[in-house]
Amino acid sequence: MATREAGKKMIMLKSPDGMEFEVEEAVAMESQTIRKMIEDDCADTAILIPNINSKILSRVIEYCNKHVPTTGATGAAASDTVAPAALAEDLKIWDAEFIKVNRATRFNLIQAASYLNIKGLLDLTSQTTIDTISDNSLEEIRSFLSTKNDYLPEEEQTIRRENQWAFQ
Amino acid sequence: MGEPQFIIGTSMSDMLASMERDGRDPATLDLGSNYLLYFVYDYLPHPPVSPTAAHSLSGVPRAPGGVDRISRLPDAVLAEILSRLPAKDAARTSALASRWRPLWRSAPLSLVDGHLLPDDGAAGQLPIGVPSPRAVTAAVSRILAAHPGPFRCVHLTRSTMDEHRGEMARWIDTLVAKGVKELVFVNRPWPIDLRLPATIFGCASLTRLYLGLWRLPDTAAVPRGARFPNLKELGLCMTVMEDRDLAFMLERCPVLEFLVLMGSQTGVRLRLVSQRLRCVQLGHALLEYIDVVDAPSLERLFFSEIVPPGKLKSFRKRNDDNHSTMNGSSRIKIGRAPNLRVLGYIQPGEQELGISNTIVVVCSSLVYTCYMSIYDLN
Repeated sequence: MATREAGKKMIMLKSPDGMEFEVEEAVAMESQTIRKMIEDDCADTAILIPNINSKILSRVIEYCNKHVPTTGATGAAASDTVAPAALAEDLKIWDAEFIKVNRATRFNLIQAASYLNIKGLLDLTSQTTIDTISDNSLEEIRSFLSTKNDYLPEEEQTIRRENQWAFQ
Repeated sequence: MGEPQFIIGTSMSDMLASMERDGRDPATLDLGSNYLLYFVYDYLPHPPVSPTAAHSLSGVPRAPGGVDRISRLPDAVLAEILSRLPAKDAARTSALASRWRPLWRSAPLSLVDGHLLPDDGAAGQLPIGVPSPRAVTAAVSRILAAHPGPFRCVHLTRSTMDEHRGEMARWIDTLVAKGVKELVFVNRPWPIDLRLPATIFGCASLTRLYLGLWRLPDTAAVPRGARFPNLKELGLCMTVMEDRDLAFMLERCPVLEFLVLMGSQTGVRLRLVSQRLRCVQLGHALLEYIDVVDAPSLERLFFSEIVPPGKLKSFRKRNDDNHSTMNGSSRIKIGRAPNLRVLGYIQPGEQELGISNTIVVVCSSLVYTCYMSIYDLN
């Protein structure tokens, strides 16, 4: 978790189940939603994050902590000193570990990433879903998602005709 | 067709005639052209979406208790997921269930025409001589019409636009109207100097633009106020451009940070005055001169496979007729570029380097490479 360092501004994030998380402003601003709140001066005391419980919120903060660009004393991004490829490889391995969670947690993370507008986390969490939808038959996707086909046969035909190029 | 077809400033008929004279097989010209195309495609940015290799779902557990958590996600979240899919996969979800029907249209579109080929474009780019896939061209027209926008990215590299001039104009109109952010538009031979419609200048939403195998629009036909106010990255690959076209183009990109000039069909003469430009990459091109007049943000100036004008017979001849001052090297002149960190590769005997008002500290020097730090004296 974030530790208080001299000169670093801290922000308090609150989950609906009453937990509080103190994080560096730079880490919190990985979320475009929170960044906007801070920039609009709506973040004086604590920011309540609705709909995201403490378990998920702590994972999100963990992700942001890892992905915040580290800056040196001169303000130059770390990528100027560390080979960017090595840095990216390290993050990829970390991400792969991070996403080893059950389905329920993954969907909660997708929702959190979307609400908080954290592009990298949304990319990461939705990848399995994307792989599923891409290149599997509709029947397979429906089965995987437990989605019931509620179309009448003629309705489905119409939809297929509308976008015939997608079904060839 | 009747009109001469050009490749790097020399007409095809001239080239074929000279090959015949020298007793070379005309078929090698195709090889040469394909070789150039290979580099063009290599310079293009990778699309942000790609069809994933089919993976079997047989081992994947179904959602427990028949609960479909994905469908329970809000529309906005589902749309974000769909925007990460190739257009075809995203559109197919409309047939899953009624809940999914409107979603793909509400998600920003990512269209890569190669993904519409039967093999998803896995076989790579089509070599010259392979007929333009008409089904792909037709599908592109339908998709651009069916989706209301915005377009996150559109990569069009598979159509011979000379056979589809109507589509060419309509596509650009649609891309302008529906707001495309990232556009890669590469014509397929032949010809390789088809004039790109000036309506492209109406595309104010662009942040990244790569054009390949075109003649740049006639700047006289561009409306006065037209510009690319959001364009950060511009790549011109194997284009035919007059100096004033290139200058005009750069003038209309006030926030440009990355400029790639690759395999220009005409000699490159570039004068740079830009507040925001950070990186210029020049490759596989005939470079006459580059004059960095005032580029306070410029950090990197890359050259690779640069041909000095002295190496090309036709250019030498033209130069002898005009001013004889040019000794055949590419001239690189650095005026005000206080943040320039990387300049290279400099090839001995092929470039002339002029740097004013600066101290050059060579950090490391390889055989043909110079990495330098340049500090402005002011």
